[in-house]
Amino acid sequence: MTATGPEPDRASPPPAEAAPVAPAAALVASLPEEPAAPRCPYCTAAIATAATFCGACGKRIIADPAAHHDTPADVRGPGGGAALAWYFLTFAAVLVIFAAEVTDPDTLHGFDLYLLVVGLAGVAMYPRALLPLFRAPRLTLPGAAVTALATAAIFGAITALARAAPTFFVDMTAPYREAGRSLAYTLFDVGVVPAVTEEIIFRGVILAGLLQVFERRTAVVTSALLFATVHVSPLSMLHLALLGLILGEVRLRTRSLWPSMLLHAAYNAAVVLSEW
Amino acid sequence: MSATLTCRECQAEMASTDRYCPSCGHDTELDGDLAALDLKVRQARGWILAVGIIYAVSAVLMLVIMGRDLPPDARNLLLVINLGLCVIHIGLWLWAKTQAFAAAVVAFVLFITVQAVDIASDPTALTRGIFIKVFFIIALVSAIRAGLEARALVRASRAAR
Repeated sequence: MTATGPEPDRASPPPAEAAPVAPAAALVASLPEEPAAPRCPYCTAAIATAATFCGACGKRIIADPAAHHDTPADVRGPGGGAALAWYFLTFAAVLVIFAAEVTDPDTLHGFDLYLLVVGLAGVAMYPRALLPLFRAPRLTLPGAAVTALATAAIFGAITALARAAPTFFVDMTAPYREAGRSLAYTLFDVGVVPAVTEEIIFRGVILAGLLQVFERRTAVVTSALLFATVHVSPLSMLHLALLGLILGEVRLRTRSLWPSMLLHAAYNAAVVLSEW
Repeated sequence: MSATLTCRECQAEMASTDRYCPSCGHDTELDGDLAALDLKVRQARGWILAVGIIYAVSAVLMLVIMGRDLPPDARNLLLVINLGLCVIHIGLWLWAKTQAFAAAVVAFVLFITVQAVDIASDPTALTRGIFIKVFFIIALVSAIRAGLEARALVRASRAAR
């Protein structure tokens, strides 16, 4: 065997334990690691980088932001039947008011109390699903600003429409003015009380029930349409449905009833002030 | 390079070996069921649209028959309410394309609500136009059934994943 290279310097310390590394392999090792091809977390099949679903098993790879049910699976909450039942329990009060042509503020208090009992009965029946809705809300400043602007736009549009065609709109505060009630009393009675009762019923019991039957978006739209329908005014259905959509979204995003109650009360108060 | 196919649902490109569309998750093995789903959705939408058209037609008929006897405000209110209900049903018909069951349920609840208010304000309205009311109930119950069947097909397709 013939030595082809210089004699190793026996005085120098031997190289580290590892075998000598060829220059090309060392160069490759020094390069940043290439990311592994994406694989499905469920079936490990190779998937395209931009895929939303796995082509092999069909499972969704990117989380679906719309698939949001805020009642945990192990909590017994209201279902679709309860949502319809609470709708008709609410509608029963509206029907009696309509049939008996009740406009006297003192008599209307009885109906407010009835609706409060209906709403609280729902909370009492499904406490684990509905009591958490009375916790502190999760708020963001941009979200609050967009919501306030959207609600103000709906209010502005409906006020302009009511002024253009007053025949088709009911003056809700007329009975209060005729009975000599103060503005503060009317604001509380027409603005705050219905906001509290309707939010517990529609964004509380009914929306929670619809979320068990439909996907998130469908549940919000359905609850908004039911909210508009219960007011028995085909002309007001459009703006009430839009308001219902906003209130439903606010309730789901903040995971609390307080912001939707506040927004609803502010909307009602604006209506009272515009009619006063 | 493997051959590519086009997803029937979203028209995205997919490998011929893929069963599910990587873009929308559509199951190509259920393409046969889609025809049944389309039929059910069309049935539900048809019933909802029929109810909406009848609201509009009845508004016109009432105006022709009783128009002269009604004061102008009542006439306008009648027309606006019925046309409003027709527009609402057209909206529900559009929505039913993607959510047939939900739209049918809302149309049914709206019908019950309107009828209850009508009867509460005038009890003789219960028997007035009874045949049309029975048709409305049959139509809307049929829409709910078709919507339920469409939803069952969609759920079956999801469960297959």
